[in-house]
Amino acid sequence: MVTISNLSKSYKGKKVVDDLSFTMKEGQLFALLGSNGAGKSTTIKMILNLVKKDEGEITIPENTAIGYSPETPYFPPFLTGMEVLSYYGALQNISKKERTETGKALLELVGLENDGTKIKFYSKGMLQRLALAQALLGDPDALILDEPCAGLDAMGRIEMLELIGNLKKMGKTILMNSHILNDMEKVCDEGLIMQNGKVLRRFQKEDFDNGTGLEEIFIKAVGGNRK
Amino acid sequence: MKIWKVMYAAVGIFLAGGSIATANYGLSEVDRNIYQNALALDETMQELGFDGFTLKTTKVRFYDGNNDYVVQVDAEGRITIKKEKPQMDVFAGTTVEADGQWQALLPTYEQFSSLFDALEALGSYEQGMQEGSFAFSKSDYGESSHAATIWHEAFHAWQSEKWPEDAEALMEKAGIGNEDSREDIIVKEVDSDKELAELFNEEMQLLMKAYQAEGPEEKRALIANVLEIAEKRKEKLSQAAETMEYFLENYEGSARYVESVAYRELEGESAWKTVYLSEFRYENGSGKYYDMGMLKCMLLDQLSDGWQKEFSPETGLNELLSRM
Amino acid sequence: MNTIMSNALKERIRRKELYIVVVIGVLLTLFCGSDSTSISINGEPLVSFRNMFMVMHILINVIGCILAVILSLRTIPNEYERHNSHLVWVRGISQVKYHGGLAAANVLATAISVGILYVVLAGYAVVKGHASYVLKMFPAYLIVVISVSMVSLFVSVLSICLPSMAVGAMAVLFAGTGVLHGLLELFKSTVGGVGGACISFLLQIILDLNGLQKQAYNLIMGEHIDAHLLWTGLLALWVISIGLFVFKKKEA
Repeated sequence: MVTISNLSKSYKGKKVVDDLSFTMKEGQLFALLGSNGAGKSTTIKMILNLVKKDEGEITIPENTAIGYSPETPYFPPFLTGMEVLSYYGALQNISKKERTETGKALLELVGLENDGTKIKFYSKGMLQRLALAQALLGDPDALILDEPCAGLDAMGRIEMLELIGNLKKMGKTILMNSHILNDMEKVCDEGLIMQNGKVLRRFQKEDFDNGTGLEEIFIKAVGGNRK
Repeated sequence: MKIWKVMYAAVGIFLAGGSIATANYGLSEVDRNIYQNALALDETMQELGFDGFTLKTTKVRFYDGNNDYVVQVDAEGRITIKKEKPQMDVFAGTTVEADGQWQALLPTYEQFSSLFDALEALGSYEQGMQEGSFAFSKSDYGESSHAATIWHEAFHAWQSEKWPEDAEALMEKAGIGNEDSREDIIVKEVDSDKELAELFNEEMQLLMKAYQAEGPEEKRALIANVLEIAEKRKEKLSQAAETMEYFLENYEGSARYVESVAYRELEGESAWKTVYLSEFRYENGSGKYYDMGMLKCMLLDQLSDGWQKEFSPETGLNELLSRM
Repeated sequence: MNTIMSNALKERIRRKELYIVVVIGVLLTLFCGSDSTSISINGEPLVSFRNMFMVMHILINVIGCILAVILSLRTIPNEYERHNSHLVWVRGISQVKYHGGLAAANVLATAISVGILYVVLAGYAVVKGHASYVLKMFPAYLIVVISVSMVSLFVSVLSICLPSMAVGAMAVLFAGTGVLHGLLELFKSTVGGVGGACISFLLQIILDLNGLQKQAYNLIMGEHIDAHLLWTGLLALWVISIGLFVFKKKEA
């Protein structure tokens, strides 16, 4: 569905993404793994046109709506969760009535109360949930999730992963980036491991379904010793 | 989207058109009106009796910060305006010798108003009033005031034409150089002396009484008192101070008188009293001499016809009053 | 663009920063307006109503320009620093609409702040027995808004690409030259040389904000208004707004 070909980006002469290619298949979850500074977030930003690519092609079918959940979401602290969704919904030209209905439903879906609590009182986990909720506005075809489980407690992560799994079943194409390899194992269909902007290893779900964990694959690829 | 861009550009063109259409090219309408209002008083001012004093033969330069607009009445009686390089930066009215003649030079009305704003911001417009630089407070200064200023400066131009070297000779005689500030002389020698200040104050009060008195005999008696005090003061003054006082009262005072007549014609008796008479009191600096001279001229108007013909640098206002 | 503007305004109101800056302005204006604390010039109190009204009017314009800088300086840079811009860009909102909405919020916030100060001034006029001025103060307020909007929009546009320190410095130069136009006209000839040339250049390119304020004052007092200044003020606003189309961020 979304095809990335030979993508490259440099900052001040240093290549942060180097000749990256992959395809996100429709209805599947593609995982981007790597240590800090591997180039995962930059890749995501280039796909979303938040950052200009230096080289390569990004092919997205016409009329494909993409929802984005950032790693460290910032929302205006004096708005409520509902108001945040209403604001972003208005930017997407969703009618007021639909915004209200959809907003309520999305808050419920991600496990947030519609009780008028202002964002400044939200925990990190709540912010993460709200980030996913706003990404789902307008029922996009594809989702790009940058560390969606960051800051969530164990129960929260379980719920979030369940939700992501359901979204995949609904036919949404998902690109996800996470440090929590156990979580990735549960939901991804294929992916790649990056380091210093380059692809170290590509993997399919079958590669760690046979008993070898994704963690082991990662360590082998990155070259560390398992303790 | 395109339609919005077109509308946006159209707004810009519309605003640009409005700016161009309302811009002043050459001398502004306001200043032209001010000049015309001043010129309309020419017959009245000629009737004052100062020999040969008329705006029709005096060029008036309006300085707008970048250029001078020289306004004059040509041989056919038409008003002509010519743009020229500025003679000097001016913030208040003055006279300047150009093209072989003395001309009145003053800022445009807009420039003058900006000056008031600026001086207000500096907190010094009150000071300017004390020094006699302006007769008006900011709230009083309007287009009529500016027209009156034209007459003030035109009168100075007439003085310079009629008595070209007299003022200079007067200063030279008293040993006052170009670098000496008239304000310094007055403030240091006159205002700082308590006795002199008290005597001058008394002079002012008596002079006002004389002006307001009903009968000519009473006026003359009060004038005699005024002149007596003036003589008493003279004994205590240095030659420089005495000359400066004489110069200010006679040259500036008479110009202030002409200016006030113009203002009264334009604004009426009540406004004229408010602006010119209500502030008549002792203040440090040269301003008080402007008012004294003006009041002496007004007093002479009450007592004599045709004193203007006898007025000269040699025959000052005090001398004329003494003959009444 | 309306959504972005109203959201930015809503946030500003809820954050109460508007109230704080306005309270400071109101206090300053009331201070000048009270008889017991009249400004003295050469030892004499400046008490006549017309003079005090004029001083307060000038003060409102100056405070308005300061407020314009304060309220506008960080709005757009904060959006990018907090990455709030990401969630706007991904929704296909053009930079012109995004920055335009934020700039509009800045201008509106400034206008509202000045409006509150103007209400205080109107109150002063009524208390001093000049209630007849109040009606004319409505159109006069719009003229003052042109003046302060210019500063707000200038700061907003520059803040798209320049660091805050540079924007602040340029804003001070812009607003300072504008409100001190008359004084600088006086100084330019006394300074002379390179200094005088620089001042002359600045006076040519920066509009007389004090002059604009004066037209508002003239309107209230029933005196002659220079329409050219108003047209030029609006044109300057339009020219500055072009910066929204010209200055763009390369990355969110």
